Amino acid sequence: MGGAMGGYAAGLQNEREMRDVATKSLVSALEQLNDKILTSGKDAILKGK
Amino acid sequence: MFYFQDKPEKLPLKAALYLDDKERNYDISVLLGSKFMIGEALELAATESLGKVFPTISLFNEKGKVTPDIERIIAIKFGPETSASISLAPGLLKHEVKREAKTELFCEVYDKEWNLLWKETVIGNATLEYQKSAWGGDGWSYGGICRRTPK
Repeated sequence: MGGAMGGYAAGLQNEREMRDVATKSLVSALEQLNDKILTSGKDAILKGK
Repeated sequence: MFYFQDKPEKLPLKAALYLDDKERNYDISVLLGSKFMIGEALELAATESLGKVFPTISLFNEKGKVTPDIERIIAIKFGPETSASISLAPGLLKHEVKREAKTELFCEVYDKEWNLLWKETVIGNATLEYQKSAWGGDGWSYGGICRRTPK
């Protein structure tokens, strides 16, 4: 019983930690994208406006 | 849910985020049979982040459904570098746990006639490291590599 509960808790912890670290990497990528849109991409994106 | 930095300016364009179903269904497999739907997170997070650089941002997933008022289309796809891993270095009293995730995004910006104006690739990295007791009863005793599973 204790082993099963421990395994379940470990599974939840595993899932939560993976979600958190993957979300941080996603947010980091999107922050970089915003910076590039406003710098290197700005003229090309505004072209024809 | 997500926090993105405010920017000093926004590009004065009505923009729309284009994500096809393949990207929306992208997931990262996790040990112990669970997985994280990073494609769903991308949809929410990118809508929020792009709202910091465009005054309005809408979302669509079919190329023919761009509304006439849209001036720029931002298409985002996951790159092959997208991955996640976990490693565990066993010790006598403590185990060292290290999680790493990498998200690679390909971004293309089009005008409303789907003419390519600009493209860029970005990679975000994140790491989580901590120690766990070698004697604790939390059931942890695994290591290995998680893999991404594009549909």
